[in-house]
Amino acid sequence: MALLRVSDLRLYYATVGGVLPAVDEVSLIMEGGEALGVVGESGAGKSSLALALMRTLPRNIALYDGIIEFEGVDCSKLSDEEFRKRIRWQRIAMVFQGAMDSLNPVMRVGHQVAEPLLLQPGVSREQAYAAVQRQLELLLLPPEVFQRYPHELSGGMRQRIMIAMALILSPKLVILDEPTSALDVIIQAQIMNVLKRLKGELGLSILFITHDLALASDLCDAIAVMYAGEIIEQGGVEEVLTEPGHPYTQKLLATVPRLKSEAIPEFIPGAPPDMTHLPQGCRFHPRCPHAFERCRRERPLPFRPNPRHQVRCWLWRGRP
Amino acid sequence: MRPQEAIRVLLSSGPGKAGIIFFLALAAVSLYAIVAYPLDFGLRFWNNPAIWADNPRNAPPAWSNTFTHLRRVEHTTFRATEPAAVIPGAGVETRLYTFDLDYRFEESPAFTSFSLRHLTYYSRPPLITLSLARPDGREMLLYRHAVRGPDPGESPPVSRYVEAPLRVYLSGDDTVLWNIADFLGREFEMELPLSQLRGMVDEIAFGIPGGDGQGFRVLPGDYTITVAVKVYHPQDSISEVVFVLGGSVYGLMGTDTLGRDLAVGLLFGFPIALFIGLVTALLATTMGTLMGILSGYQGGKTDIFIQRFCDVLGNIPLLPILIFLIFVLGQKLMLVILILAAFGWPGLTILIRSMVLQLRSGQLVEATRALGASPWRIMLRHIFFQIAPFVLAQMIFFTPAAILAEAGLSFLGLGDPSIPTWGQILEFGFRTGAVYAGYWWWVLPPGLLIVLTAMTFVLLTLGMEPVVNPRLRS
Amino acid sequence: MSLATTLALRGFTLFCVLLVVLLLVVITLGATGFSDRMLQATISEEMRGLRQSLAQTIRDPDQLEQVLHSRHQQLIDYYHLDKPWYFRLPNTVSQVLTLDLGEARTMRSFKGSSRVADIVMERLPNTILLVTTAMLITAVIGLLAGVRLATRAGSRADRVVSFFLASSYALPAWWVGIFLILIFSFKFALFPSGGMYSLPPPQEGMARLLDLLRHAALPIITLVLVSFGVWTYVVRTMVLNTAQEPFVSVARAKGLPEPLVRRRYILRVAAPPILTNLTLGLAGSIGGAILTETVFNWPGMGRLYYDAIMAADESIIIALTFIFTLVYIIARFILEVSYIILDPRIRYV
Ligand SMILES: Nc1ncnc2c1ncn2[C@@H]1O[C@H](COP(=O)(O)OP(=O)(O)OP(=O)(O)O)[C@@H](O)[C@H]1O
Ligand SMILES: [Mg+2]
Repeated sequence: MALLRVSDLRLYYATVGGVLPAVDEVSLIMEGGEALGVVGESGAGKSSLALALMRTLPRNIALYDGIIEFEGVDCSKLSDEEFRKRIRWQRIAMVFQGAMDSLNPVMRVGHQVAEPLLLQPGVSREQAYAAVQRQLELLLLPPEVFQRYPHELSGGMRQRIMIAMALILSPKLVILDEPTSALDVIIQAQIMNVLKRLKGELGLSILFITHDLALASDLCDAIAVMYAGEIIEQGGVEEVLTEPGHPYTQKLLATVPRLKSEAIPEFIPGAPPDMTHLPQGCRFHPRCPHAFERCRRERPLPFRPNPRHQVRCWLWRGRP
Repeated sequence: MRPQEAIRVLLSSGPGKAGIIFFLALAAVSLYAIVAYPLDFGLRFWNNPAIWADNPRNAPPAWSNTFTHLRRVEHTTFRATEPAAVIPGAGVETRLYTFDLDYRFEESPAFTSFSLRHLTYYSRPPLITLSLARPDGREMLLYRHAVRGPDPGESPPVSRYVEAPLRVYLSGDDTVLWNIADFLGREFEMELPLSQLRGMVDEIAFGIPGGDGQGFRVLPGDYTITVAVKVYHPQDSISEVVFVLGGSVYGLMGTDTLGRDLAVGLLFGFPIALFIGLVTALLATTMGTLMGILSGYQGGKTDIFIQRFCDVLGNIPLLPILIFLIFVLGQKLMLVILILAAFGWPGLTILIRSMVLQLRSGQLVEATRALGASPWRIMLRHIFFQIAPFVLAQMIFFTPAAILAEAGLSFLGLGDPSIPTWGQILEFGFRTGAVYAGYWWWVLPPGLLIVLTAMTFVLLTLGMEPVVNPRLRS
Repeated sequence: MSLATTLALRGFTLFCVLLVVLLLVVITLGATGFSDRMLQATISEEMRGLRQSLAQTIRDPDQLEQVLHSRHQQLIDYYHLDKPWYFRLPNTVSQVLTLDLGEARTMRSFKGSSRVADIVMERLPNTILLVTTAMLITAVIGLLAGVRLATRAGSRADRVVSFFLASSYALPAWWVGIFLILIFSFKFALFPSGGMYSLPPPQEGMARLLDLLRHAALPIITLVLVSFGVWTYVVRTMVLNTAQEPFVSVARAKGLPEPLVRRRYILRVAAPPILTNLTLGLAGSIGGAILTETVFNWPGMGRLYYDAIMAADESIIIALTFIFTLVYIIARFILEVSYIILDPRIRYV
């Protein structure tokens, strides 16, 4: 049984400019213990996908539907209250983008990490605090951090505090929204190592959101590429990275600088689309070098070049 | 942001639109007041009792009649400079000044008075008669007066009533009493002793016997008051004839305890309130902006000094110090404005400084500086123009504060006596007990106008918010 | 910087404020010749009394004049009236700082003392009673209403209410007071129009308290009316700003129940900025209190100001200017200390 099965998930925002489909017909499958990387440019809808999975939605929602099945439970059947009590943070936790603002500035961080545990029935304060100390240790944080306020911590420390907070209830799945993007390379490497260890030792499943393909390939077993609210390509790391099927993924790979290669990193021509006025047909066609008539008319369906690989592009129509 | 664009943003918000409309209205009324009255209005009119002598005291506005069960007499002043008709005769000429009065009230007048100003005669002194034609067809002679002849050594032309007008308070004049007694006997065959008639002049002149042989009831209808002046030389002249129907309600806004027409005082308050608010705000924002730019741009010791100074100055509670300074230095409006400005700028300086600090580290300024532009030029072109909308918004925000502070000070009895403000009108009412006597027309409107004026600027501030804070623009 | 240094620095700044006000007062009085005139008036007053009493005992006019003259010189010496005003400055400053505020010219305390300190101190508790009660009520209303409004942010009702709240800034306290007197005291005769107790005041405890409440009602309502709008608006805006912070969504995502989120993540975090805003409004409240007391003839320091202006009693006006600044600074310091306690970010600047 798959750990997480998402089908036709849609999350549209109501904005002044019109309806904004931040997540559109997204389908995903994740197995237990697996790490899935979600990559894409800024504004592609990665965070929105995470919020949709966590059901922590902003007020201005125009549409939110689709099926999210977690450990065999259809979450769309659960009320908000049930979801809060049974799934959120207990089974699926998340590290939000921007750890700098994710902590309450007037509370000691240790207590903030402990809070979800303290809400559990039958957990004493001492037990909770001890658990927090264990988490801190796991994340290579010195114990005195517990008593500190957020403004007294470095960015990397805060990021790790957020990870500790996500792990405190030993969830099955952790969503990490760009956990390393604001950090320097050394801290980034430290955190990546911690994540790999967690995945290996605890069998944690990770949904890793980033716009850095290299990082994603380092940690993840599978990759999903998002463009303008859609997942335009997904599959095993090997498949996606070595045989990218979608012109966008190909361009994206070409932007990654390589040490051993002479090739100069490219830029993707054109700009990301205006999300409230998306182009007809394939959303990528105005920037696509291979676009043909059909791409301008019809939205591509997902095609499967091989069983572990799926591409939303008309170029793959008719191929096996 | 360019000015046109700022105005467009301002106009696109409800409060901004309302604020602009109110402001234009205030400005228009102020302009009218300045044009219609001399600038020394306070000394020449407001604080000059002679001007208001004929007015009823503590009279509510005329329109309050709509709410009362009894229609009260509206105070009316009739003035004429030219006679309505001239009856020629042999060697004499009778000039008639007539006033038509549509008497629709349910009480008799509080008093009636008659006055005459600047009379000049060339041969014999003129003879003046005042009579009343009543709606019941009866004529009533009220008063007859022969102008005093030339004094020894005086030769024509002789002028009379130049300094002080001839003023006859009909309700209390003895000759009028005689005439009234005469009238009663002739028309109604009533004989009343003079002592009883005293104080009943107006009741009788504008009424008929009630039927019970004692009282009088009001006789409504059209009256004509005729002042006939018999002159003996064609060149004789009178500059003004005035008849006052003393009422118990007065004009648009009523009167205060000195009989002053509150409408006029309130009207004159408009330009003053705007003046106080705008000038103070202008001074304070100019100072605040200059110091803020200097502090933020110069940095170093200057910065520290200015900031410490602002910290101290900005923390002084304003009203007590204002009371003290005005009490010691004298009640002058300009002084109030200066003090308000002097203690008002530090808050702005602190804000401006932090904005300048941000701008200063910006690329544009860095680049310009690298190119060797002079600091003054940078401060003006690249810093001042950037913060200009914010400065303007702050100025608008400061305006009501200044108006309210002056009003508060005036209310404590420290207003400038030569310049009547709304606060002072209220203060006089408060001091003389108008509040406890329930003279609402006296104490409510000035406060309401202060609120309205302050509100105008608050509305403008609210409307300016999107101009200053782009996040709010949608 | 440590907590103690931060506190000391704030305390020092506030003390500077006090000193600046004091210097301003003393220098203004000196440079305008006002203090000379005041001292001269005091001396002539004393001389008049002395002449009357001495006239009984000393019959010889020459001798009388001589005695009086020497006493006059003594007094001039004593008050340093023979020296320019700035020589008296240090003395005056230290006198005022030790609350030695001199004698009132015409005004007396309720008990008949003419010492300014007595007159002022007798009224200080009345002012504090009025202002703190009004402030507490305002704070409670402002917090409740502000939080409530913030949860309905953006709705039509919220926009309309916010607009009215923001514009209550344009309401002068004294006019609101007059308005209330006209309606509730004059028209409906529900409340007395001024004073603190009826005449004669009821002696028995409960009746006295009720009488006090009846007299305090209108002034308190006035003060609350003019300030709760601004309070509510500030609370609403700050709560709204805080509610949009990412850590609030995180707290919700963590599964914290809504009341806890609101209390611990929104109100608690919004508290310091709310406090700052209110600190800035404190000076305004002092002005409001002076005017409200004047309108309602409340026997506090504000009304004393008005009475002293009417009686042209300089020494009281000067003393009040100082005392009001002092009270303001103390209140300000208390607020700043609570700010430092509330916001850990400030504790170590
Ligand atoms: N609350 C919201 N209301 C309206 N539009 C929103 C909201 N949140 C996000 N969006 C829009 O939805 C789109 C997707 O946003 P999202 O934050 O999911 O992007 P992202 O892929 O996480 O980008 P980044 O890499 O910069 O974090 C963007 O166009 C964004 O402007
Ligand atoms: Mg994101």
